Amino acid sequence: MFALLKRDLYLALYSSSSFFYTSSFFILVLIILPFLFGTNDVQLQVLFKGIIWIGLSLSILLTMERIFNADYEDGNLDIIIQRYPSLETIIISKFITHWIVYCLPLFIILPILSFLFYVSLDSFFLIFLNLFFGSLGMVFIVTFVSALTLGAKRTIFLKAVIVIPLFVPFLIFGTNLESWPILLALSMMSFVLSMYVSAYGLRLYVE
Amino acid sequence: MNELISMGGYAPFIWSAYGFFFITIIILFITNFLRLKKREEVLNKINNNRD
Amino acid sequence: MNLRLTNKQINIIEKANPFLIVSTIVAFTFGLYFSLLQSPPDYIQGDSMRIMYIHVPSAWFALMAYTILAGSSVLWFITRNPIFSIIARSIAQIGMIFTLISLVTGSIWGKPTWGVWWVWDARLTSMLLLFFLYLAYIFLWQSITNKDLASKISAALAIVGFVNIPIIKFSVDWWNTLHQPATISKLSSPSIDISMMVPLFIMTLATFLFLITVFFIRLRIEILDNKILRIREVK
Repeated sequence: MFALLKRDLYLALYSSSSFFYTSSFFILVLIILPFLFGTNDVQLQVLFKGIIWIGLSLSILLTMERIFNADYEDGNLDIIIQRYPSLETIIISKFITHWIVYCLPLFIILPILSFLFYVSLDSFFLIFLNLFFGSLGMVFIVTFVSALTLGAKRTIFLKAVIVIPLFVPFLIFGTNLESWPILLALSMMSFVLSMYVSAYGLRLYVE
Repeated sequence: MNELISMGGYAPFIWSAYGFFFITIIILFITNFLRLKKREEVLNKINNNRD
Repeated sequence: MNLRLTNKQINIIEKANPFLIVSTIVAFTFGLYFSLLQSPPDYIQGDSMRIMYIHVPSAWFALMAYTILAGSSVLWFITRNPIFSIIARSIAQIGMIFTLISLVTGSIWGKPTWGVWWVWDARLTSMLLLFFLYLAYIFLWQSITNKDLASKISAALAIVGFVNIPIIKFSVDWWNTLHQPATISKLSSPSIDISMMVPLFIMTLATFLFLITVFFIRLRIEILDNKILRIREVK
């Protein structure tokens, strides 16, 4: 499986400025805040906790077609499935790749961002934890929706309509600082769900 | 009769709610009914062409 | 695609139409009479309580329709009988409309009764979400051209959505107890008096008859589509 993971990561991070772009995306989404709401530090601190989730959700959601589609369109997916008949391997590899490319940058720059928005240290740890478990769950969800809707091109907004209601449980508990166990539980449920449904989805298209 | 129309002062609320309800379901019915009629028409045309 | 509906069943669906339409109209006439004229205004809410007579049946059927949709999807997965796929698709639009009606009438009812057009409590948020679930389901059917594939994907999504609703409701409930201890329970109708049971029952019956009428029409549309397709294939 690590060979597959290495290959996926290499392809995704081939343009090594990917980290820069995704980080910039998160920073820019947050920069909008003071422009929209003014620079009152108390207010910004509260808003930050929410908007960071919007940035994360968008980053995961809008790029969801990159999980399987590139390989599917090349015909490589067929070959990969022959090589790794246990679909779970493929799904996990794609999941890890997507998370590393579109979520990890957020966690790397989160200390700086929290500093910019006057977040206290203990809050920071809890926010980090919440975002971490939430991001896992959300990427699992996006994986199976993407696997189900593999062939459909340019339907990203339709997929957003499907995915955002599925994100809602994570978002509801995400801003509450004491709910990281709940988020962990939710992400484990999405893990199980995603394994089944993604495998089903992949089988639909590659048979 | 007046009491029916004014509904104890809540008239705009009640009538807009009831109005929305009935207009919507009538539209729902008519849209589907027309769709059905169109299909029946197509079927008739095909059958007539055959005979 | 063989629908596996016997001719006798198709006949019943077709012949029932005029009877259904007439009984729907009769039921609504009685329902309106009882809702608007015969039943007394509420002690606290006054006449605005009458909106309950159209709001509550709509909400019930919005939820029932989604249960049918999800249940039909499950049955489709198990039996692969195309009739279940058709039932799901036919009920979707109806369910969506009733969800919309319940949201709008609920909002209109809320303003004079509780002072607000909208509140983010568990029930309302779940209903709003339900609306989007219907929307996504309908859009999905329209966007996928391979109908066989479309059945499978929509069915999977319907089931996932069905599981999501209680999760949302629970989450919002939990969140609200944390943030808004005194939440108004929006759908707690006034203590049901017999004089209110009657109009409610009649309107529910009327709405149900309407639902069946439109549902049968949509079934016939699918049956005819199927017939036309098979004739064209033979040519």
